[in-house]
Amino acid sequence: MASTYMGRPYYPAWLDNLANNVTGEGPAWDGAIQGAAAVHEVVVAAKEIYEFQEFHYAGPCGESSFLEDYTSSVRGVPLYVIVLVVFNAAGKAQRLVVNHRPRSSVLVLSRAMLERFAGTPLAKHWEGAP
Amino acid sequence: MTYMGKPYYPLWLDNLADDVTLEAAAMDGTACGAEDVSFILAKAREQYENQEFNYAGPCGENGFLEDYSSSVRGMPTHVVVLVSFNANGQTQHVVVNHRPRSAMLQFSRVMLETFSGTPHAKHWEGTP
Repeated sequence: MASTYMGRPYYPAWLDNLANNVTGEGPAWDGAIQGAAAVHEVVVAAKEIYEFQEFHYAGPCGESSFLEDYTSSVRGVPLYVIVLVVFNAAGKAQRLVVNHRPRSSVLVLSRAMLERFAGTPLAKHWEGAP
Repeated sequence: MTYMGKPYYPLWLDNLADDVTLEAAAMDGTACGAEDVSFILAKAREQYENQEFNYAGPCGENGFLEDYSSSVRGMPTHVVVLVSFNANGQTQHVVVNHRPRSAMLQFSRVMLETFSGTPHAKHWEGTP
């Protein structure tokens, strides 16, 4: 899966700098994903489901946050994403909010994530996805 | 509507470009034009039972971010709004993101009720 920003490969450095008690929230799931291992696993899984990531912006937002704005697709459906990462006083990613749109694409992703995590404790976040 | 304990009003709402666009996790498609976007955002704000802002301020070179908690029909609803300005400093692009999924879908159904029978309803039709 190609992930590019301004024509060059991009990797989100914050993903390797998660606080132990980081939380992950988003319109595509219910509840908050808790803890570094779970959040890392979910982000990696989502990146595997994305068919590409073309970043329009990846940089600072306010004093202690980082914003990513990218275009993607999932199962052929266009998906637009804004990620807000909030760092703690130690500089670690404390809070992650992944915002997908439009609504139809959110639900395609939600169903894909339910398939991916079926039978695992994380599936609860996508169960009931219409 | 408060931010850091004080009343807050989103000034960008009164500074929309003529060709401003609005997208959202709870919508399909894009709403275009200052009149439509202003009308939709005003109706959306009427659905909130409160707005408590965790952050409202600059984001990147040309953006403004709002991060707030609210409730809609008693359901906790958390929102991230990203506003992008054009070279004239006017609001060019607005992206509104409700979460979690149950709250996003409820908000979408509420907006469908609100705009039922109008040309704007298309953005929320088909909400499960």
